[in-house]
Amino acid sequence: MRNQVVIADDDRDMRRGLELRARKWGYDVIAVDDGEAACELLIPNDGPQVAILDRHMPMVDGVQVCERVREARPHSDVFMMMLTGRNAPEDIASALNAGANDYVTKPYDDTVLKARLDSGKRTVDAVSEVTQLARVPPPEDPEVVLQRVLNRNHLIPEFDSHSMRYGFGTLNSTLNKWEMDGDIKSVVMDRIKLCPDCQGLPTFRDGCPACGSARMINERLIHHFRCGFVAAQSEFEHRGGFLCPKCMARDMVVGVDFEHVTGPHCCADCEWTGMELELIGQCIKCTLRFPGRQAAVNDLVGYHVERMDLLAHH
Amino acid sequence: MIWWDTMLNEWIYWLTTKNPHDLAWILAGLFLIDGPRYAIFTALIVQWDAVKELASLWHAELDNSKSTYCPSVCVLLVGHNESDTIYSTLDSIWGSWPKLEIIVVDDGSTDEMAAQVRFFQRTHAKVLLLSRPERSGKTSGLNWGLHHATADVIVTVDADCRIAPDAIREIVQPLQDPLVGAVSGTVRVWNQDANLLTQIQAYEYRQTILVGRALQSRFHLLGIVSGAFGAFRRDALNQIRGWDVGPGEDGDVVLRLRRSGYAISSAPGAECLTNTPESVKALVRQRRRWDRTVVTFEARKYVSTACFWSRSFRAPDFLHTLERWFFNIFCVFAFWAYSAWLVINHFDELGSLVLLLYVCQLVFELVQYTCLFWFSRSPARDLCLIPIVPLMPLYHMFLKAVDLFALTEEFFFRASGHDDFVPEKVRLATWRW
Repeated sequence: MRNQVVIADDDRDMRRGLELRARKWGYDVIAVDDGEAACELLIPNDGPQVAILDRHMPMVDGVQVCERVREARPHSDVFMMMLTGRNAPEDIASALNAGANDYVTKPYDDTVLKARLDSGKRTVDAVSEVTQLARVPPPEDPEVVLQRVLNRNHLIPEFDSHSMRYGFGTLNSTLNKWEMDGDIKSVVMDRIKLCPDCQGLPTFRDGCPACGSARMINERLIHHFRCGFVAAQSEFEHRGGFLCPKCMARDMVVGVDFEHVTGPHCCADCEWTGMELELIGQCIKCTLRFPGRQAAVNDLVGYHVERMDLLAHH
Repeated sequence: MIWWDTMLNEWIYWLTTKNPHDLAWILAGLFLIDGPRYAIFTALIVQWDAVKELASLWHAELDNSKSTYCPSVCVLLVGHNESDTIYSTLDSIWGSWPKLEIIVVDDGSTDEMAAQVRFFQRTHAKVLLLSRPERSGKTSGLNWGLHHATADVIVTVDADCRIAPDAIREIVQPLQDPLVGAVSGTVRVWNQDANLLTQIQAYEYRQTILVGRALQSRFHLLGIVSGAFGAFRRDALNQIRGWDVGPGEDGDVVLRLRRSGYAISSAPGAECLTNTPESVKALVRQRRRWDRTVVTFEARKYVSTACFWSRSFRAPDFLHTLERWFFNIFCVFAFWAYSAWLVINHFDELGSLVLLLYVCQLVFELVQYTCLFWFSRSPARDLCLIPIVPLMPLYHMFLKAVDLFALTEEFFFRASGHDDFVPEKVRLATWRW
């Protein structure tokens, strides 16, 4: 994450003091002396996300900077702190209504200023991360795709974490055209199991064939070789060792005198009992739970370049 | 025809000129032990039942106690590499009882058995599959399934069997009596028509399992519930902590239930179909395993049932043990000692003696065959087995030879300790009776 902060104040001494402090706190400082310059820095999407603004500056004051920045960047991923000597309620309200995130009056305490600055930085970092996750990727440049194809001679579908599906995204129409032209050929590269409902990617685990639950109860039994008795291990436990309740044999050694018997599984959520669990799928996208055998089986289709010469002319 | 007629005349002449005292010695074993135990005793019981039936009809007494008991049932199947049959087994079970749950234990199968069960589960509810990667044996599989069962009655079915549509209904009825802890079903041969050997075994199963166990349970002497198809009261099983390590865990669990005070019953109408060995080698292996259990259990593990001075002594258990010792151990060795005596002392007339013994055995066999129809619910199918009857005396002779070998190897070499029916890791840790 970028660690830049814009300090906008027409008072040179004040500006210089804030700059030294911010650098000391680990920030990269861009200091300007008017609001116009501050707007030029804060409005671009790739600009700094944290700013300390003086309320009173020539040409464009701090309140106007807030208004302009909020209008250009409606997502709240810019933290603007208003720094001024005025502490009247209407002054504070007007600054906050204009889009400022915080309001600090002079004289300020270094510790408090640093804490508020760090807090604001954390907030914009979190907002930026969420925005990044929700962002739909821009259509890939066909030139980039072409280059990748020419480099590797094949194209493998990629997994899209937004749609939870394999595919080529916005390139599908381009690839279909190339396939129709005979420049590339679709090939089955793999076969995957998908959600039968939304075709999303599921996870699989063993579970109860009747209700799909993963909560199983397994009783541990002991088979005593000498007398053939089979019972729960708890029936054999006696004073730290094993004693057969049928023939009273003591000092039993596993593998020589007895063996453990496992199964069947007993579902804790229904009455099912059996030796084998069933593969249960759960879709990550729509959360549908289904038996593994009902999963939709799809071919994972990629493309193989048939004619590199024609493709290079696209 | 002339040589056959000559031989027959000579044999009849020999028989009529034989000293009756000598004949009595020769036929003593057959007429005092084998004959009464099977044919004569069965015929008497059948006649008694027939008289009672007529009396009840005369007095218009209706028996309304059948088929009203409706407990919850858990069918428990344990299998290893049974992919070929498990689906059809489950298909025969599912839906045959209103309050039914099924537990299938896949004991370390390396084939598609578990996959077959999962396929069945897709379209059938209340079927639980317990699967483990390494084989640990049928006993622990049964106990594992028992731990997860919630029904009142546990019905065990082999994974390669099929049950009749009304089998579960029939097998749970005796459990209406709270004193009954286990019920033995009737096992029929599924692959009866595979070859002559399977047909012989089909007839044998009808006599020993259908008729024999029905009679034994009536006199509280039944000491086994078929592992292929049996029903148990779940509370009773939990009381004795389930099955013990086999082989022969099906007989062992019944003995332990008896010692806990439970009665053992049979359900002749509860039918289950199972595969029998189709080769002599497989049959011998199976019967050796079965025959060893009388030494392993009644002569070693549960020898205390014969200790009348013991505090836990129970007369029915003692009689059962005595019966097993006498008929399944003593009589086997006595038979071969008797055979050796015959060969040594009557070698010159051995052929006539063997023919005499065969004819007498055949008569007893026919008596038993006739009695079969009193217990049978499929007389037409049993009628088709009549060509097998003349072969049964020879078959019994063969089984007695296998029995002798099995008892000897168990008494002197503890062969059951090497039986791979039980996985090695269990075999090394368990007791060797």
